[in-house]
Amino acid sequence: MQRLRSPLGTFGPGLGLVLLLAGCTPAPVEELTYRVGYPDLPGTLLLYVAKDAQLFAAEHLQVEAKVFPTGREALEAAIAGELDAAVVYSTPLVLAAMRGEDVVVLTTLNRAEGLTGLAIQPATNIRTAADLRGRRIGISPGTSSQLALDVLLAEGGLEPRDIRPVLGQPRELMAALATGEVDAASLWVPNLLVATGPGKARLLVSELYTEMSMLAGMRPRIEARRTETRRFLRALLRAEAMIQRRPQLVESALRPRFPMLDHEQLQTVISHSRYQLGLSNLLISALRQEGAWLEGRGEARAERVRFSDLVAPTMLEELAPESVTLLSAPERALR
Amino acid sequence: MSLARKLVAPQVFILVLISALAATLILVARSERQQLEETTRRLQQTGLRIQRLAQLFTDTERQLLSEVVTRQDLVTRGIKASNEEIDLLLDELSRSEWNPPGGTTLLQDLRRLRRPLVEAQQALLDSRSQVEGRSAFVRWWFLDQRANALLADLSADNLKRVDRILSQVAVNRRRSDLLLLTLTLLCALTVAGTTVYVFRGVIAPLVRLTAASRAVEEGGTVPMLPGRRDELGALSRVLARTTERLVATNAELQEALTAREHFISIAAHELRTPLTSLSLQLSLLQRRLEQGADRGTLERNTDALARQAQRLMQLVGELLDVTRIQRGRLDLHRETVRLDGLVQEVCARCAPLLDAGRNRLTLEVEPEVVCDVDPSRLDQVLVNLLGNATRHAQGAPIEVRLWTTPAETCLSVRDGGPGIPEAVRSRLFEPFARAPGAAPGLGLGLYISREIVEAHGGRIEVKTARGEGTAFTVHLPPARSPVSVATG
Repeated sequence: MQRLRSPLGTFGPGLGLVLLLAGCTPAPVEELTYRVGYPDLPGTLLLYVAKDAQLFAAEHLQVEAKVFPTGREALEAAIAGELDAAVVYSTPLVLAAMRGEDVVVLTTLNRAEGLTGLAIQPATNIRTAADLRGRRIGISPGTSSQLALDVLLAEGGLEPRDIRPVLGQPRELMAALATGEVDAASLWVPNLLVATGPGKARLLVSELYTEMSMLAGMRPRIEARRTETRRFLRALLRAEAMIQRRPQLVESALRPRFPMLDHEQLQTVISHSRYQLGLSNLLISALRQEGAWLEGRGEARAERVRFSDLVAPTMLEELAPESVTLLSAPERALR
Repeated sequence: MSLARKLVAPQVFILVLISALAATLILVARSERQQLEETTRRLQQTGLRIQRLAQLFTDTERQLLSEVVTRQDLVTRGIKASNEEIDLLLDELSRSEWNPPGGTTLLQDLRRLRRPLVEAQQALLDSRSQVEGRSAFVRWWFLDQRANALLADLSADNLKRVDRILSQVAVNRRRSDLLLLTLTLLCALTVAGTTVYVFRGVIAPLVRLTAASRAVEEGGTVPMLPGRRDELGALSRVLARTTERLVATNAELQEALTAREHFISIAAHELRTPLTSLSLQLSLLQRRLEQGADRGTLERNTDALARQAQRLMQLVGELLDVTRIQRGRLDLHRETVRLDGLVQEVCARCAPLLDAGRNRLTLEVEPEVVCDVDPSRLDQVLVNLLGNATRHAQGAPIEVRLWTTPAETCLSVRDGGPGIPEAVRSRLFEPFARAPGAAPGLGLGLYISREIVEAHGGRIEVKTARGEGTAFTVHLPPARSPVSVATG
């Protein structure tokens, strides 16, 4: 007599295999959200590349990006708890640290030389930094352009008190420069290059000043958002690797975002910039110099800032150890 | 695979494996040591240079910051030394193929910084006014700070490289440990496998063969080792064949011995009867001669003696024939004869025998049947068959037929007797085969007849049924040539 096979006996092994395979399938990665603020500047390039190449999406990270006029405002938003991280330059960061804010740098994004400087009114006879004595100079207070100006003044043997500062936002300063209300304005790209050129303002920059854009945030917030921050950093590292492999990506990312720059200006920006993630002694040194300068200007509060603690190398070191070249570990590392 | 290969191949394999293991470990260890030594030496050198350079920077910085530069030559010498050191460092880093990403960038930065730094240092030394001095100082101070930071970065990068190399060495060590463990396990497994292999392939078959050889002593046979193509398989096959042959030969010898004993027993018994009769007749003849018996009485006695002698001659002849047959020395003297005549002559000669048995003979002979035979042997066959018929016909008629077909010549002797018992039929043509209760005789007649017929290239058949008599038919090949016929 033929034995009847039960359906379980017939399909059981296959079912078991399917269940086993289903059990082996990795659990879906949780989609996370990350809020970041940045000024629309060439120094933000790595974010642009990561966004264009869907690198954040590949990390299962939905980035809510908010554009600010300056890095200082972006940092203020981060301090206010609106953002997880902000793209900022050294001066606002050091100022915040000196105010006692628990800010921390996760990585530098860009290092550039000669992209922050003075746009000189062509009608004036200012040729060197020494010629700036008694001139009306437009300044955006609390930005790195202020330090760049002071370095330029010092190179000319002058001090901040030797000029007549005119405070304003970059657009206001550009307008004032055009109308001759100021003799010069301390600006940064793209405005610096837009304002200068043949038939326009002359350019005067110090080769001593190096600007560094960096990703920074509030330490407690970053500690609380460790997973998201790691994913964000990993996407940026992949963006850096991409532009190293395909340098033409830099121009293709910047061109649509900065249409006011012609080809030559864009090439100037690119050739003067180094888009690289990292935490180095150079950064610490720059922050320390900045702190000393701000203290010298009397803007710092009494409490002393431990500059080596302004960096949080743990996450970057975990993801790309070679990017961190600090001689000593910060005393207040991320938990 | 040969036994030698089976034994040697695993040893060679293990040897090769162990050699490979040793060579690999030596090479890995040597490579690691060289790499570590070279890298450590290079990193130490670079580290020392960076340290020396940093010290020079510090010295120069201290001297420049002393505000009172009273010993300018000392500062100049310091600057010169630090510049030379930077050049050496740059050269060294360039030659040491400093790997990106950090290294190349730092190297470029340091290279770019060198000239402005030298110029700033010189400008500071050459400054004449306060404004000039302040400007030069600011410039030098920025560049100096940057150079210090770069040196620190280089140092950190250097240390990281040491860490990475140490990590790599640790990874390599773990890898070589794993390799060692794996190869050791492989060796152990190979040795175990070889042991099992040799045991199963060599020792176990030998044990089986030994046990089987012992069994041969008790009359068994050596079993083959199926599927083995090596020397053990060949040995097993040879032993098995030899043993089988020995057993068969032994059985044949035993059979021959039994047959000989049987033969001697029957021959002695059969010879004894006429000899006894002959002895008695001789005693009787002797007594009658002493009594002076008449000639007729004496002639009857001598006739009886002659019959017994004839009987003895017949028995001895049969025994000789059997011996010749068994030795393969049954010689035939073939000639072309007229079988019809031979048959008629034999039947006529046997008439007294038939009369004595009260058998009526019917003779049906095809005329002019020619055949290539030994006439005396064919005579012997027919006499045997007729004698056999008269013994078993029990007075029933006997029919002798001779006929030919295109393919053969046939001679049959048929009796109307009770037929041959079934138990005897299968042994009918065997030597000394006698039916129970049969008339005296060696039981060799049919055996010899068959051998003679087969020696002629023919065959002999028997058809019998209970109550329906028995017919023996001799089938002979036809004559090759019908010329020069001799009559039987």
